[in-house]
Amino acid sequence: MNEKELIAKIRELRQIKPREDWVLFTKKELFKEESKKGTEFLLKLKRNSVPFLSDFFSSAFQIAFHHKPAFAFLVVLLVLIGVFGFAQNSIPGDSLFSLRKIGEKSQGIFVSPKDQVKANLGLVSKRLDDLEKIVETNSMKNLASALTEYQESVSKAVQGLAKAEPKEIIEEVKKLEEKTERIKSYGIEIEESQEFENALAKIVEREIENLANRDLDKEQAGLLEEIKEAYEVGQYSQALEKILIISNNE
Amino acid sequence: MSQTKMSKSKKIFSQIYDQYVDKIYRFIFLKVSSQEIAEDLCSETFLKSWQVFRQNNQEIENPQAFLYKIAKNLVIDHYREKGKAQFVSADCVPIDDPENDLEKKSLAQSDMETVRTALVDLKDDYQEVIILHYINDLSIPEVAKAMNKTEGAVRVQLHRALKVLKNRINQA
Repeated sequence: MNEKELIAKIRELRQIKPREDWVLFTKKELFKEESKKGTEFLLKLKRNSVPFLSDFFSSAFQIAFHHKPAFAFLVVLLVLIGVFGFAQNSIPGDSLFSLRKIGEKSQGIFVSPKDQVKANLGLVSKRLDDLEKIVETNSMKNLASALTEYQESVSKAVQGLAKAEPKEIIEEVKKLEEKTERIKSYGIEIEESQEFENALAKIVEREIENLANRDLDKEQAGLLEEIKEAYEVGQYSQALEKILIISNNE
Repeated sequence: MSQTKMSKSKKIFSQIYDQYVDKIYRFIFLKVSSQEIAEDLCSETFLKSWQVFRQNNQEIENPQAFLYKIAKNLVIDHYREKGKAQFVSADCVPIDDPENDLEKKSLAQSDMETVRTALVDLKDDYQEVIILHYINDLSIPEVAKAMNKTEGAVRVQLHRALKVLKNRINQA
């Protein structure tokens, strides 16, 4: 059994889950005294949530514009904040998605150049989350836009990637790999970016060269061979992980 | 604590419970190999966490790491009281569903049992790092916080743990 097969077997143990009735019972027991009152209140709110919210907004607007003009600005501000808030749940192809992108771009202004590569990889991860959401909600009309946005985010992430240090990017790269595999398993064709793979390959090549010129102990030398094997078959994230193990072993 | 504060605390802790109950249960189960004991210890984990959460006014910096630490300590206490009896209780042996492909299902389950048994036999640190990272999907930084180690130490441990586990399974 090789390492990949072993990890796959280990992951099968995720099937171990607690009994559903035990989960519910335990939760109830934790909050025993007030659970009944809390549940009743929540049920009432859920049943009436739409009329409740629309009544709230219509009253708020009436007060603001007819009785307290000074609050008009505050109400508009609150509405804008609310809209931006809703935009966070939008996916590519939705009308509010452009607002979400503006929000993401503005957050990017505060990122230092040193963390820019990691931040760009984070955006790729978000585009993959959008793709997963599309599958879960069966919103196939958004698929084409989501794939386009994903490809754009990958092109941006490639900038500066080849110069990054393994420890800065390994977690993000692994997450991207797992998410991509999961989405592919749903039957969605995600085109692998050759530029992205080339950038990762450059990082691994650079590190292999550095390691080859150093004095390594037996364990580290064994790991270097495994890194070279992983590089040969294009498993760059595995290679990066092992590179980090050698660095951390010093 | 006022009524409103109490409701807010319960709501937040409820979300923490929903988010982590499966993972904490799985973590404990893989260490004690008994559904009954895992349920007891898991309830106790959340009960203790809820008490601390209430007392500290909802301020637990890292709920995930906190829950794992409590769970781990409860497992240690459990073994201290009961003695380290490595047994597999009947309630965790999978039962075949006669309606499915018997051979396929029993092969898959036997593989899973082999891995689970080998995992239980590992030393605590190796066991934990594999459960947290590969089964419960914690990232290396999250595993480091849960185990109170550096990220570097976690990577090295993961590598060694996999090697030992692979050898045990290949020998079995």
